[in-house]
Amino acid sequence: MDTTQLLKGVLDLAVLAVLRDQDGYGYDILRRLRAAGLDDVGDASVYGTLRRLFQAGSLTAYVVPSEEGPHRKYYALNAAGQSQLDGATHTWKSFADTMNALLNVKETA
Amino acid sequence: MNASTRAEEIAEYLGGVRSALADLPEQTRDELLEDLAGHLAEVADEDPTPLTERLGEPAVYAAELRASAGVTGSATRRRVPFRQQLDRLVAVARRADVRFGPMVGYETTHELFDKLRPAWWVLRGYLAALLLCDALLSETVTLVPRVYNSEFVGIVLTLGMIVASVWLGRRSVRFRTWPKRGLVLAGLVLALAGAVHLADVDSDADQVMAMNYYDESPTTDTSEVYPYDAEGRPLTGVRLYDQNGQPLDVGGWDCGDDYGDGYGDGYAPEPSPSRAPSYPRCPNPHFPFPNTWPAPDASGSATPSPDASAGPSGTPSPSDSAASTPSGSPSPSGSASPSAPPKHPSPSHR
Repeated sequence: MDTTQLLKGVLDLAVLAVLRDQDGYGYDILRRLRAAGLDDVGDASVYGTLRRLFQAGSLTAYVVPSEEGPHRKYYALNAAGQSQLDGATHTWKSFADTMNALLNVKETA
Repeated sequence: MNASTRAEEIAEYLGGVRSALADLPEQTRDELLEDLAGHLAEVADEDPTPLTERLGEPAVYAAELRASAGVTGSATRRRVPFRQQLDRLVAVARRADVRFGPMVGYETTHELFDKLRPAWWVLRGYLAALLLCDALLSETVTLVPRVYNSEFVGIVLTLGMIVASVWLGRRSVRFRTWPKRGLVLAGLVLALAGAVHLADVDSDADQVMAMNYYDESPTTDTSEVYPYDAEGRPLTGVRLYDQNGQPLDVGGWDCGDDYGDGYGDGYAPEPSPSRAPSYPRCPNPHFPFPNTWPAPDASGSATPSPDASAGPSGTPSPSDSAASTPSGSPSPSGSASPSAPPKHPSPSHR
């Protein structure tokens, strides 16, 4: 099974998770996702997801001016985003457990 | 890649994504594109691979962006200004470009055109030489450029123009936008002028073919014939026939004096039923002409005409006529030479 299909369902969760500890801007978030092991995530998907989450009110955004390059738009988790993250994490955990059991996969704790 | 071409690449990619999103409301599109410029700059900085390789074709990127952002097309059909419609056309063109690419053997159609670009440079050089010669250096319309009727010089000029065009083509890769656009426009003008020229040559060739079939008779500047016999005596009522036995019919029937030169004040008599006109056609008071033209025939005498007594006052042929036709001459001393005494006693009797 292609991971891109799986990714589409959980990209929101992944992006929220990345922003939990630290605010980030587009490219930075992309890099963190890739560093975490999600190589297949597409650039456009990350940006699109950020916009959608922002429109849904889960993120706040602020602009940080920069000397060398264009100003960067940073995203941050707000209260709503935080609670969405918590809920989605719970959903994921139970879903993963169900699938693991179905597939007889040892739990990774 | 140097900085400016990279910047151009970024601008082009941005434009590509923008036009693929042309059907969205302006605000939405602007928001989506807002982050893209910065992203492209960072990607370009980090990674020298071409953007389309790293991120996919702009249209593809736009589709993914649109999908993950959860954006559908605008629900309300607002009046779309001209610029947006243009963008839409460009978007369609880009989609077609990607769609038909594999049909011609490449990922995108424009890849094929890029590969053919040097061939266009050669053609461009030839067209430039051709049109230059046609406009300034030659009087005829040809396919091989000629410089004042010299094909060799024309060919040398063509080769020179081709070399120049290829050199220009290679340098133009590094041009900025406006010089590039100027070059494209000049190329279009050249192609159009070339097509017109080709149509010209084609219609000329058609005409030459037609003319070859049109008129097989020899040129008829001649409108009158003045016959003389071998002794320089003028003849009238002469009928002439060609090798097929057909009467020679020269000129027109009108002997009117169109030019006011004193010749021909009447009308030629109606042609006989056999349609063989007799020459001279028109009565001409000056005929026979008083010059020595034509020169009397020196080789011998022919049969004198019955009215030889009305013959010219010029010297008849000297009766050195031993070699002449024996059957021809009755007593040459008689009516043959009316005015001038024979130079020698005629050894005519054989």
